[in-house]
Amino acid sequence: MSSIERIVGGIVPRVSTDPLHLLAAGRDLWSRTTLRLANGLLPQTPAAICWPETHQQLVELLDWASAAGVPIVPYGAGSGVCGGSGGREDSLVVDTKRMRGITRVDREHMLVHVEPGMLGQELEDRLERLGLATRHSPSSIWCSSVGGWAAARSAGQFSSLYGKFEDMVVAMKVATPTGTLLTGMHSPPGQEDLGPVIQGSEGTLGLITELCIRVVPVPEHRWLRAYAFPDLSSALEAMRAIMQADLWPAVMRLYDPVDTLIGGKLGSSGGKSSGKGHGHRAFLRILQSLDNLDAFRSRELNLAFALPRLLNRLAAGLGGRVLLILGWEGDPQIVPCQVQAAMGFLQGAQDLGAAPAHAWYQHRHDVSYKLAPIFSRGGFADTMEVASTWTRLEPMYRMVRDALARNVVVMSHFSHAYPEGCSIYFTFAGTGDIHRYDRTWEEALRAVRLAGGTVTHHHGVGLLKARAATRELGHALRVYRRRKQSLDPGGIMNPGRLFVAASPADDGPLPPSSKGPVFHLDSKSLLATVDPVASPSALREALAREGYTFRIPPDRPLKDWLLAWNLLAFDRHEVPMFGLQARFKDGCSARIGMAPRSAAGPDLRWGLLREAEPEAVEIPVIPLSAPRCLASMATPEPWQEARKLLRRGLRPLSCKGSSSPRGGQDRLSLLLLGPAGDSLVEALGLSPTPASSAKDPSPPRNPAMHASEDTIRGATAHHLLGEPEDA
Amino acid sequence: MPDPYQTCTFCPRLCRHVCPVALATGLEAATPSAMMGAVYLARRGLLDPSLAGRAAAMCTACGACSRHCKEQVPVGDLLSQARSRYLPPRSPEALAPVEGDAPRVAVECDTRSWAGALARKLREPVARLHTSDHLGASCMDHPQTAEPQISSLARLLDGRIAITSCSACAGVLRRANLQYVWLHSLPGIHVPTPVLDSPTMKLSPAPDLLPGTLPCCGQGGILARSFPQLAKDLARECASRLPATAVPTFDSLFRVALTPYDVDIYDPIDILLGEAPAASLHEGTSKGGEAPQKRTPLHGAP
Ligand SMILES: Cc1cc2nc3c(=O)[nH]c(=O)nc-3n(C[C@H](O)[C@H](O)[C@H](O)COP(=O)(O)OP(=O)(O)OC[C@H]3O[C@@H](n4cnc5c(N)ncnc54)[C@H](O)[C@@H]3O)c2cc1C
Ligand code: SF4
Ligand code: SF4
Repeated sequence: MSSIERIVGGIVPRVSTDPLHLLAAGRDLWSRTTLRLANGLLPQTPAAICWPETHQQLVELLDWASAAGVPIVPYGAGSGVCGGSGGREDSLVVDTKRMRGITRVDREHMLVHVEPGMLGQELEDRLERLGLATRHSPSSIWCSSVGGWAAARSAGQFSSLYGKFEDMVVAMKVATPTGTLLTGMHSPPGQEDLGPVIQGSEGTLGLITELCIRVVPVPEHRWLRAYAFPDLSSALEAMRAIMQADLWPAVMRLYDPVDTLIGGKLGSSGGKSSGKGHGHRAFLRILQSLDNLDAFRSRELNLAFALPRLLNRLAAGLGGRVLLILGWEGDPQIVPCQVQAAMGFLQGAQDLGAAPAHAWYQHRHDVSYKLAPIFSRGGFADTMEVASTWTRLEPMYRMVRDALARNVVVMSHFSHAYPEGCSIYFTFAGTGDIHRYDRTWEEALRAVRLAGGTVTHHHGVGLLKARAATRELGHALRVYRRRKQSLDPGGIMNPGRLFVAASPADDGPLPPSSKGPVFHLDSKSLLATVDPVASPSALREALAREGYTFRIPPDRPLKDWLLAWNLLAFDRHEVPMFGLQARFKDGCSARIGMAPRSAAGPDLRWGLLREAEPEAVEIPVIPLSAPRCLASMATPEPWQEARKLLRRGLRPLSCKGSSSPRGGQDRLSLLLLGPAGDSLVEALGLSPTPASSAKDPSPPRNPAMHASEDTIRGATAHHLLGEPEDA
Repeated sequence: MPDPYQTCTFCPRLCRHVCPVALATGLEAATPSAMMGAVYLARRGLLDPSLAGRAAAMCTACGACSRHCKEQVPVGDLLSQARSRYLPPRSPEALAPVEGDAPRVAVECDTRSWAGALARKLREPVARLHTSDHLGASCMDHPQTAEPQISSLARLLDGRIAITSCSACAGVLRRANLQYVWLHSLPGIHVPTPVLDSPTMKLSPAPDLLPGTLPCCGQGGILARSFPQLAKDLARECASRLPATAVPTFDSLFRVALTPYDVDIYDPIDILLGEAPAASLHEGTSKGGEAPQKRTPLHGAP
């Protein structure tokens, strides 16, 4: 028995240096490692692997490792695609999969406590038996763990409705080299909630040992349909309009022309609008054969991979129609109202019916089988998921696609849409060695940066994007490094991953503004960059001059308001801040969050806000002209009613409970945004209030945690109506 | 057709969540993809063949991965082939002669003797065949050990029908193409839940508690022999997923696996011997209750 085995074995029940286990712990699913393996190069293997079973064992283990200087590599299910969890030579891999219980179900607050090593599908299956679901459904749900989801800021296929996984986590227990850390709902009062820094830290700060996550009732009703659009731009416009109209679809997937053609997604009409002639027909055949695994053997296809530029040029010549899959799910009374209202944004599209959309839903995991055969046939394949605001989205799509197209055959789809932007998922395949693979990534990542996007929306960073993420976060990394210093002073946690040591360039000052407190208005993405010290009324006036108002009205200057923001009381759909530019005392300036819902490391905005002087904040706005609808109901228990409605999936801009001073009946008032408002009011049996009173949502006095608050906002506040129980 | 070992090696482990061994043990090396990967590497000369043999020995051949896989890779068979290639053969224990002369033969594979009780119940003679290693179930990977065993078994049974309640014994009988019936399917042996006839196991403990079924308790074949600890993990996993009140089970192996745990066991042999009530449990007894369970999975058991 080796000495590491003996020592670790004294702390954790199971440890091994068996080469079989070390080999398995040597890699995650980074395509680069797979490519090397296909070329006969085995991955590095760690010194040992262990399987802890309790939080306390981990605390002791990390304490020992920190003193002994042993690098620790947390390992969930190893489905990461960026090289985040393979064990390096000198390391101890800590596999979480023997910590996989549901430790508590709290129906009252719709919260579930779960251990990190549980596989996603097992969690959903177990919850389903209780009538509950997370509805976090990444394509890797069969092969990824709950801890890995949080550590790498995962997103599922229904994220447009339910949010990314980080939006579902309300508390975590974390073992760090300096002891136990509780986050979110359980973070010690008066202290900074380190939840946003732990999520996305990819095991570099500590090991997540328990998560408390929001759950929803299993959706009763699902509506899915497919539409064909004449071109990408018009389809993207429809997606944006739907997302900005508060219609909350669960599924929104738009395939670019190449991806649409592959597999004949539009049936025989798919190629109609594309080029004519023999060359194009041959190309179509090649493309469609990409969907058929056996085709990868054909000479035609190998040739295509070897000549990506030619193939991509032909693809660009296709122009061509695109396929949009749309879906809603949830309450059978709410969904039809949302669907009906969305029809107004689909005028230019051809309705392809429900069948293609159901086919997608049923076979949505099949695509995961398609990349492996490419390695078997001597090629490589990989995926890249980036995100940007609606304004920068299409230019970014073209820039990144062009950069990739120089080296590989590329197709893409747009999914994970939000009111402010969307992510793009590129799938590419090529032939060649590791150098071609590296060059492909390098050029594509550079294009993302130039296009103003984030280099990752949900796959995280690992080794693959460590340099790019470091560049993206710039000086804001100081915030991370300070927390790293206090949680992992010996630097033993997953060393070498996530960020590289580099001195970032200063982001420089924002361009001078001529618009008073509103520095910049991105009307397409509904984002305003504003002065963080201006008064709410000055901001409101300046926005109104442009025809906009706050989506979430502050009750004091943004700087103070955001510092007091309670991350937990709100659905994280209700994001109060996107981009943030702030200056440290030494004059260095940092600008982050300019692309939505990034997974490039942890969310550092909240820490940056504390540690540096904010100079500009990007906030969500809504057009003054947006349809709104105020409704109310008389009820002796406004909060019980609010909770019921919110749990059914209603997403009002605000709810207000009021008691009548003269002994009359208490009322619940709701402000609904968007074209579905009126029909929702009718379907839910609420009483409409005259339009004149549908003004701005009244500012919450305090972000509401408890039923005693008289105003709550956002949808998932319903999880927290009532006293959260202690864990 | 591409090399199936390679297909699984490069597959993003898309069936790991249905593999009972991978799930119960939490071992990365026990995922179907990793077991197949070890064989793939050994075949390419990149890994010590004995490691590939040990990897393959973790598979119980339950078939769950193949049923789930879109490519339908026959992992169980391929890993069995790998065992025959990379592991030394084991000799089965010599088969004892069949006691009695009757058209049906009770295959007794644990300490309980039930042929007589069955004869009384059926009011017809029943012969007895005793085996202490499940008819050599763990020797079936190697043709040089399997084939002689199969022929002597065929000789012993000599056209008679075997009766068993054990999935491992049934596996050998199936492999030998010999006729057999399940004990619980005989008249008068009242067992409470329906039996799912999966290719290698006849178990479906409380199907409503599991997505699909839990197809293996790990006690049969090579896993229990090569990795007794992994087999125990698997049994514990089975136990943790069953309702606390009752375990309807038709498999003596499963019974052995579950004995240390806090579950009531209904076994056709017990029922036959009058040691367990034949009362009908309502199907798939499930508390439908909320976690945490009575028996905390993985953590509480010995
Ligand atoms: C076929 C396929 C499809 C995919 N589809 C999606 C998708 O749709 N959406 C998506 O978001 N991702 C997707 N991914 C990527 C991957 O599944 C996610 O990144 C997932 O979150 C990783 O989880 P894991 O348990 O496998 O983590 P691992 O790969 O084991 O680890 C990921 C990182 O987190 C760290 N880590 C793991 N567990 C812990 C813990 N308990 N505490 C602290 N750190 C920890 C590791 O050290 C590593 O840095 C896909 C991957 C594949 C192979
Ligand atoms: S059996 Fe199928 S799903 Fe499982 S590893 Fe092999 S290819 Fe993947
Ligand atoms: S046959 Fe069963 S035990 Fe073997 S790898 Fe497949 S699922 Fe796992």
